[in-house]
Amino acid sequence: MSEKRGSSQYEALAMEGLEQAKAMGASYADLRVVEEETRCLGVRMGRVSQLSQGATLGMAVRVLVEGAWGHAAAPDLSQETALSLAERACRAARAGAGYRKTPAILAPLAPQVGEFRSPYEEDPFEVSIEEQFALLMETDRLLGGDPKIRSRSASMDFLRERNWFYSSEGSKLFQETLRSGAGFSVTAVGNGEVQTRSYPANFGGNFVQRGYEHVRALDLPGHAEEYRDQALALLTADPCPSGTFDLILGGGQLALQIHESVGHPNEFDRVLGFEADLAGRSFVTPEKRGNFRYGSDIVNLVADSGLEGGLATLGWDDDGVPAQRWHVVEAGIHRNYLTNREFATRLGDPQSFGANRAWGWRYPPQIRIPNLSLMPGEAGRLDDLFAESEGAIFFDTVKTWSIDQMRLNFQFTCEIAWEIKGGRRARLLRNPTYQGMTPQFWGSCDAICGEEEWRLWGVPNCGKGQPMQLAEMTHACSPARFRRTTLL
Amino acid sequence: MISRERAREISDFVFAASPAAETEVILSSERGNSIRLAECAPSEQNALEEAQVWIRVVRDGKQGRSTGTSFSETALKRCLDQAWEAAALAPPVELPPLESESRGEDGGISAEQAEELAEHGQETKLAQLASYLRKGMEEGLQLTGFYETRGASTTYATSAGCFRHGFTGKASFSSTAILDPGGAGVGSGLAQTSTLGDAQVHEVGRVAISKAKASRDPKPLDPGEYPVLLEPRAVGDLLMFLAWAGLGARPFLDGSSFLSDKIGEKVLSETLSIVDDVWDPRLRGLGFDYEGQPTQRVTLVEEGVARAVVFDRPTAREAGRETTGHAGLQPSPSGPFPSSLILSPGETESAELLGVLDKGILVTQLHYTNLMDPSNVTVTGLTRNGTFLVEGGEIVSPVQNLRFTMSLVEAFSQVRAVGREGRLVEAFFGGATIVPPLVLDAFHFTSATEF
Repeated sequence: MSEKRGSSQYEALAMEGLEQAKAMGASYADLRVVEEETRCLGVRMGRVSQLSQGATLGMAVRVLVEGAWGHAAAPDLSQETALSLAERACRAARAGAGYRKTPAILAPLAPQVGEFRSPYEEDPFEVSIEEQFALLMETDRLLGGDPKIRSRSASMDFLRERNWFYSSEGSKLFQETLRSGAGFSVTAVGNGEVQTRSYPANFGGNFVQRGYEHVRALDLPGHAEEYRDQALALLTADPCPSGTFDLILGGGQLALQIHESVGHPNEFDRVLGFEADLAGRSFVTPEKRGNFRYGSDIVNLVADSGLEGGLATLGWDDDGVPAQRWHVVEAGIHRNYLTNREFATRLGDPQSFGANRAWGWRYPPQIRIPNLSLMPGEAGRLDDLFAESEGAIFFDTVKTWSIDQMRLNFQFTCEIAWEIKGGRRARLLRNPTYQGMTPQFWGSCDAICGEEEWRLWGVPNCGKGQPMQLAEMTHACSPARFRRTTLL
Repeated sequence: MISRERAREISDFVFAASPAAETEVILSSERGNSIRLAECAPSEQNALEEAQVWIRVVRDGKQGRSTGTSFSETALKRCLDQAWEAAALAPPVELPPLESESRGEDGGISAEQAEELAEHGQETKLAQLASYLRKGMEEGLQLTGFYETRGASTTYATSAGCFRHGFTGKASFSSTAILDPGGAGVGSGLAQTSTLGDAQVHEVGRVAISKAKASRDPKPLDPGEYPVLLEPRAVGDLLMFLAWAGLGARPFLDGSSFLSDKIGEKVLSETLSIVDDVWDPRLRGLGFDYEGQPTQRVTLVEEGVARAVVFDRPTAREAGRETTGHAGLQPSPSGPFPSSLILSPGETESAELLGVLDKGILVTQLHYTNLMDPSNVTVTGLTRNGTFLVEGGEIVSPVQNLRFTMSLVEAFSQVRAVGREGRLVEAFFGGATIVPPLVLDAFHFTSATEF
């Protein structure tokens, strides 16, 4: 569907659906049409392991009736379906309205009209599958060559999303985003150990809102042998010591630390208990806003829906609220939550920060972590930090993560670690695990590398909600040091 | 959901339009609705229809695949063209020829059962929930939860002549009740073949509220090694990790499974037997996989001895074995997976389990469990929604939640008792299992929380 043809066709459809919703008593309604184009290619042990491509297209109507939400969605774009979805959503909302003690009230928003397109240089869907597979095959070949390598795989994944949004308040928006990701993983087995190395990150690599130029820049074949050798070396490496050590986290791991211990606990729906049956609640209770010490003075965590290349970068969220940039933590103090129009009102804020996003067309939007980054510090390059960190341990690449339902007690295992001696990576260490409590951990952060080390790390698989929805976001950061951390 | 006849029409259309020597069509169609609860009220309600088609073609020893969300002829043709173009450019794939026969029963539930699940509407659900929500409000609890029903049809067809079509469904209600400070309890009900009746919905609520009240104001407990009584939801979570780490052929053949090179050896307690069985009347999964092969009942662990893992045709060929009919979409990067796990019940009556535990910890539910080391299935996670100290076979007080870090192979080698009743439960990341409660001699709690 071309965007122009889509826009005029869908607008007529939307007007019908929204009128129907209003006629059935909706005080607010929106209709979204979402089209997703995907391509995912994979190679494992020299053979094609994944070749999926295609498109999904569907429509969703969301209504607010007497302060209660209703939502209905279907993979069909007929006028009949628009009317039927509006009717089903209104009927469900009305049935639920009588139970709500606190009706949903939306923070004010002027009608929004506009378009947003994420920038890219080279369209990955225009690059031939043949060329893309050749890159993966070459990477896979370089990962092999040792019988202890029992599994090796390389993949790339592309998603183009087009989103048409119409609301009963007069908003009309079109957005098109393109994101690309690629990576490889190699597993060695021996000496009673199973050891994996992933480049540039776990979860299928690193993902950004860019085109195929991102894949070319990753240079998968150029890193294959180094990571294969690391996987093999880990089989006989010393185990990571347990006890209390200074810890330096590489960017990929630090990104997940931000995600789990700052992102999720600051979703304001979660703070109020709306996620309690699945993922839990939050220790960042409302009275902490503006005064709670979340971390040390050098810790600045900024949400930014306009971050260039960020997976959650948009012109508007799925409430139609424009992209914004705001501090969640400023100089170590908690400042703000992540909100949508409904929960901004509950918080007493005059407007939403615009963090409401849905996974495709199937499910209602909910508060999602936007791009959320640890701002760079003054510790220079990673080598500069190593030079000042004798005896510290450097952890890199996510392996396992777990955090409690209030987002306090976390435990992470990385793929690899090194002891820092004489200002450089020295002894290789396997199975490194650290554990801590969120505010104490961020409070122990005493050095953050500078802008020269600041990188975007994409999270392509964040789960939330019932039914579970996926969302993507980016956490940019530079490596940082945390004093006296517990290693298991 | 689509009927068998409609599914055949769609697949025949694709086969007629396909220029390929071999073409595979997989159709999925689903309908259902759900209600989320928060603050003793519906917070979100969704009604959803879904349709998906996957087309795979074989072209000169190469394969191409494409997917779409419409069964219209135009959309199917577009999907087919895309798969055909991809096949020209992809490297050759060594996969077995597409199935030509339709062997075995299709399994699943009846079309009428699936329809009943899909049509169990939000108004009906709210009527079932009304007294529970009212009680929560009256007693100052915060009630949250999720109530969902859905029915689905799945079709597997090949141009070579295989045609399989079946229906599946699900009704699930989970609710967490909160009574601060520290009080939290969970109840859950799950059915694969029918809707949940009023009594089942009320029972979920009763358990959640009773656990929340009993766990209010929990006491701190030092981390360390304790015997535990794990309720079925906790057992189900752990069983899924055993499965992910090692009960499929991919990790088994890669050497990273805890069963690799150990078939015929004792790997777990002799009190434990694990089977994968879509044919169990409580599970009623599809009787065919995404290669059109009949899905077999597979004994994975028998009285603690490793017996088998599940295979699809590519991994079976690699291992010189026969497929067990557990294939996902082909080609599959992660390989086959057992999705209908049953841990066999034991001899101990539920009422006797606390007495068998004598002194230790009763665990209702686990939270955010994750795999650290696949070779011995070392996992970490936390307790949640009702953790209690047991002394002299009786609950003496709620305790603050604890983090555990341990090998499941070790934990499941020291089983003191297996409950007599298996229960259908849903794991945290999805998937249904039938599991009894277990009493384990040693669980390693490695750190604590303050709630």
